[in-house]
Amino acid sequence: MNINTPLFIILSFLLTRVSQAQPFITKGTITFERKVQMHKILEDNEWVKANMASIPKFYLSTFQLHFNEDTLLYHKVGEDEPNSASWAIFARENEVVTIFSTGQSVVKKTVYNDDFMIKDSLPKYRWKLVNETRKIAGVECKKATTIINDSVFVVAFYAETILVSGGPEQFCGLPGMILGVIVPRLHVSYYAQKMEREEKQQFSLPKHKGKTMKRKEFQEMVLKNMKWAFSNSAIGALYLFL
Amino acid sequence: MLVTFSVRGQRGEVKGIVRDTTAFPRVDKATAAVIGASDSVLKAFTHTRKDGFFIISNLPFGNYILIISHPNFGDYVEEISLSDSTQNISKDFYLTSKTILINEVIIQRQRDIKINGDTTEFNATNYKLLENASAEDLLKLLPGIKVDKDGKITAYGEAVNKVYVDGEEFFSDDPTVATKNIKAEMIDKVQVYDKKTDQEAITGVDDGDKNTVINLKLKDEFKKGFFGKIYARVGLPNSLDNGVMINSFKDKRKFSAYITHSNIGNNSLGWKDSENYGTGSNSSMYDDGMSYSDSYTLEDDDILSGDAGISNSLNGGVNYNNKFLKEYKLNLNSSYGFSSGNRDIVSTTNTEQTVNDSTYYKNENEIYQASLLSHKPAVSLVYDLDSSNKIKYSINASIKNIKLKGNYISETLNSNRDPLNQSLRSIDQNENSASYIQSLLLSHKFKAKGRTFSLGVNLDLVDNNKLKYIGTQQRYYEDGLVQRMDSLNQKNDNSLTNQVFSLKAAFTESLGKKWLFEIHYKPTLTSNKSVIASAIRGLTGEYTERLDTLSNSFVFNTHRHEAGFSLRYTIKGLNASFVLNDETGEQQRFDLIHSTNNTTYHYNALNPSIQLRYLFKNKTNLNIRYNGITNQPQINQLQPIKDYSNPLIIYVGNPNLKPSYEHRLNLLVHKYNIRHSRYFYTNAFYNITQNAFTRQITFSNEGVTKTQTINGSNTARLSLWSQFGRNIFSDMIRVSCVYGFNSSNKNDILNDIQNVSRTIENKGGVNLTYTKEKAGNFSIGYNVSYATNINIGKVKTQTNIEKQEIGVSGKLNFLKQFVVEANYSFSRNQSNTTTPMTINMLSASAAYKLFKNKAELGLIGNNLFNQNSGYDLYQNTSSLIRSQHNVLGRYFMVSFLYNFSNKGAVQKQEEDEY
Repeated sequence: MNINTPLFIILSFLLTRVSQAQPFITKGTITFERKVQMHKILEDNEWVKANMASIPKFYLSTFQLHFNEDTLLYHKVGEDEPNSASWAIFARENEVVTIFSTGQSVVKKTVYNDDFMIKDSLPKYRWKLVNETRKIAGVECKKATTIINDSVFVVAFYAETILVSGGPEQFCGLPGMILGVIVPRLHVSYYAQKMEREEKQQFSLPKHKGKTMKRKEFQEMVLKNMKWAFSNSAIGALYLFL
Repeated sequence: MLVTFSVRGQRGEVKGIVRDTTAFPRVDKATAAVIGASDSVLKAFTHTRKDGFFIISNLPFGNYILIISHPNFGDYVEEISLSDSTQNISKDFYLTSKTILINEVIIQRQRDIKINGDTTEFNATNYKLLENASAEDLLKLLPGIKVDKDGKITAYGEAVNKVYVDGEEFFSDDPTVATKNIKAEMIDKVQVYDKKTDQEAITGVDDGDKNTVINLKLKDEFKKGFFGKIYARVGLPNSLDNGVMINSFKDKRKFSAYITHSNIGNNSLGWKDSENYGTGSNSSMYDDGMSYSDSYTLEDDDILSGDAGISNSLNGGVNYNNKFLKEYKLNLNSSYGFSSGNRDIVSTTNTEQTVNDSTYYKNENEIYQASLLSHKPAVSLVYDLDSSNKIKYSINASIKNIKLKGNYISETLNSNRDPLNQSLRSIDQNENSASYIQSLLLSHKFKAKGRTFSLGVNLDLVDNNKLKYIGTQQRYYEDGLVQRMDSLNQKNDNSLTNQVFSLKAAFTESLGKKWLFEIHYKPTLTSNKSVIASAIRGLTGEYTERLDTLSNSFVFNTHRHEAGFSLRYTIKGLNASFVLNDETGEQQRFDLIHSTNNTTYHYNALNPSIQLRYLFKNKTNLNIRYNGITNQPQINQLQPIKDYSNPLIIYVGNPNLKPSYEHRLNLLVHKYNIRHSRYFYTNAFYNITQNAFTRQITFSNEGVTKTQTINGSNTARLSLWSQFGRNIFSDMIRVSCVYGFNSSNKNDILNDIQNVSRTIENKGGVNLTYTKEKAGNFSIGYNVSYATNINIGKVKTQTNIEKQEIGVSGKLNFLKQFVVEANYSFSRNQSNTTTPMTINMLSASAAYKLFKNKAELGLIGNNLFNQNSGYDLYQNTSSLIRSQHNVLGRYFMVSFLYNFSNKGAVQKQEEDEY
């Protein structure tokens, strides 16, 4: 009964007829740039330290988020800039489909060559609203913070003029679209670069070979089976939980 | 989505129509969000429909903040509270168009201040400070809190002696260790409240005095890893100020250590203990808190408690806090601090004393050298046996040695400025003191709600030994000619022991939902012993000849029994309590040498206390309190022999002194409005003391003052402190006004004539602060005080003192890496008989930030006009006193500061970099 409460709230505004008033957007495509500070990630890795100069400082990738009032599709576009230490980051190209009307999300994570499908209800975040604003891609955004996985601090900037409660990766639940996310502990940021108002014609579920599991199952599996990943790149492995 | 409602509890809703203030059209697509009042966590949100309507339902009862926002309008912020009485909120909400707002900017804040009962909580994250700002800088910005140049804090006019960090003591004694070393950005919340004893916290009945403390709550992200700072400052002439502070957090373990070395007075040295312990009762030397100099007994120590002189000191300490066992049932907090230093003081005091119908002038010059070594270990252990049983034990120790050497010269002149006497004095004193304050508390919560039993035991042991060698020479004049001379070289061995044992058993029981009943019994045994052995230097140079008139042993024992009950009544918004305490005491005073002075004194007093606290709908807090307390005399007021340390100022104890009884009435009004960050605070006291400790003073025609404390007639004191502040134009400009009023009546007997001294003081100030995030701040303030002292004895005399001060300070951060700061003050003090004294003071500094702003390289220039002269002007019953002492002159320094931290602690910085 309680789980339905937020859904009710979401539906109550999604079902509201959206007028043509200029500042508000209910569908379109946002291009995000993900920027990972490789040097910070590898700081604790003794054997990489010596070769740090040969590793580019940033690891940049581009993602797109297609959205309408009911559905979000987040996926990677283009090739990454080559980075000799990209091995240090796991789950580099998550693909996320979020459907508000069913309250479900499907996430495809690729760990080496294995695909994992995680199908679960939308993650819940305890957002704290902070009285601070920032312009991202020309849009005025408000700040909010939360903690994920019990200890990882996340800062998000959301635009109240985009009436869809989504964001990059699985971040959602704010009164507007999230256009910027910073996870200091993981040395990563996601910032919207541009926005188009065209809606993608069709949203399709990610193709997969792997087994479908719940989020919790996936995390337990990771913690149990991938200890080696944590010893290699403790921070990079945490990307599996994003 | 995100809502995490608890399953239990009742729920309410908030709904309404959002309109535009200009012509009231309905606003669609506005975001209505509800966040928790205490944690700012987003609980629910929605958007308004086309007709401007929104509804957020299924909200658990509680306190929230409703924020309605829309890109074309200014944010609407309202505190809402859902409860049995207000299950639904339904009304129209008006948004103000941004074009209108340009003229009348309303910028919402998360919530600056929250008032909950006695606690005022400030949301530190809302105060914008420069990088590397300390907790002290943050406190300076908080409305109602003042920090002076030495780091002393006052909150709403009350001195703050303790600063806690996350609710735990942080280096037991010195609040500046926390405020100067913890960075402002680490602080989440600042709480100001009256510290209750542990037992008071359990029973919910407070019976003691006000003891205002500040608690700094740290942000979670800073409670990991380690961080700290190191700084070094050197300069000319011969100035240095260096220090290191480290903090380390791991799981529940918290470790801090610091060491500082300074010769520019940047260390608080703790010459005097901040808490007056060892009495075991409500004991105050005098009947009011105003400057009532007790120089005849404490003269030599007193000079050390101020900020006079040039000091050189080395301080350090460690603080360790950890939680052990399963579920962290055992909490250990321990600290050790040491202080070592010396101080050179040169001072001049000019006193104008009115005795009945004539005026006397007294000029004194003093030169002192003092050194101090102190060790202060403290341990506290809390063991939560299970959810209903708890044990707490704590011990605070202080071991201290103070050496003092001084020379002193004085003259007294009559009203024609002819000499009455001249005096030369030298003193060589070695003082050792040790104190151990222990407490044990056992508490048990019964299954029935509100039923508790607690047992508290306190044991205080204080030992003080002072060995003084005093040489004095006096000349007494008549008509300008020497009439008489005398000299005395005495050795004075003065030991004081003080033991207090007290036990308090308290039982509470709730009677229904609204009533709480408490009953307690508290026996207290105190034993004080004062042994004074004085000897005169013989011809051989040895102090062999015992001086019986100045030697004595005196014991003062008190057996006290207090029993009482209290009733507390709580309904929404109202909290009322009534306490009745019956105190029966037997005091035995044994003069071990002169048995005629032996007395036994019985007394019985009813100490009632009534308190009403009410929270109005408009967030105004009202607190009214009356209580009656018994004040016990101190042993040095009783010790019947003369204190002849200064033959011109003699103090004689009074073994027949009886306790005095004080009625205290207190009214407090506190209001905060979120819209303009507007607050109002007023605190008023009215005290009447019966049987008050007053003084019987005889002033001989040789200019010798002899004082004895006696039980006089009633004295009264009225004081008021009020402050108002708000943002104007925008949230960057803040204005605050302060007004204070003090009025007191004292009745001394001056040469057998009743002398009523009435002091009326009015003081006020206005302060304007402009703060721009990351760019800097600027403030300007004006303060004025006017005090009148009227003496009605044989004749009526009047003195007035007027003090004015203008302060201007600014800090500017430019080109990202430069910070310049300047502080200027102008002060002017004058009385109706003295010429005005004006002092200009200017200090300036510039710093350059290095290594990603972690380090700062700077230049400091202090006291640039070189006009600071330690000047003070004050009045004390029938005297007007001007004093001046040596202070640090102009100096320049080069400084280097480095903030270090591991990853856990730098998170916040990184976040800003993105």
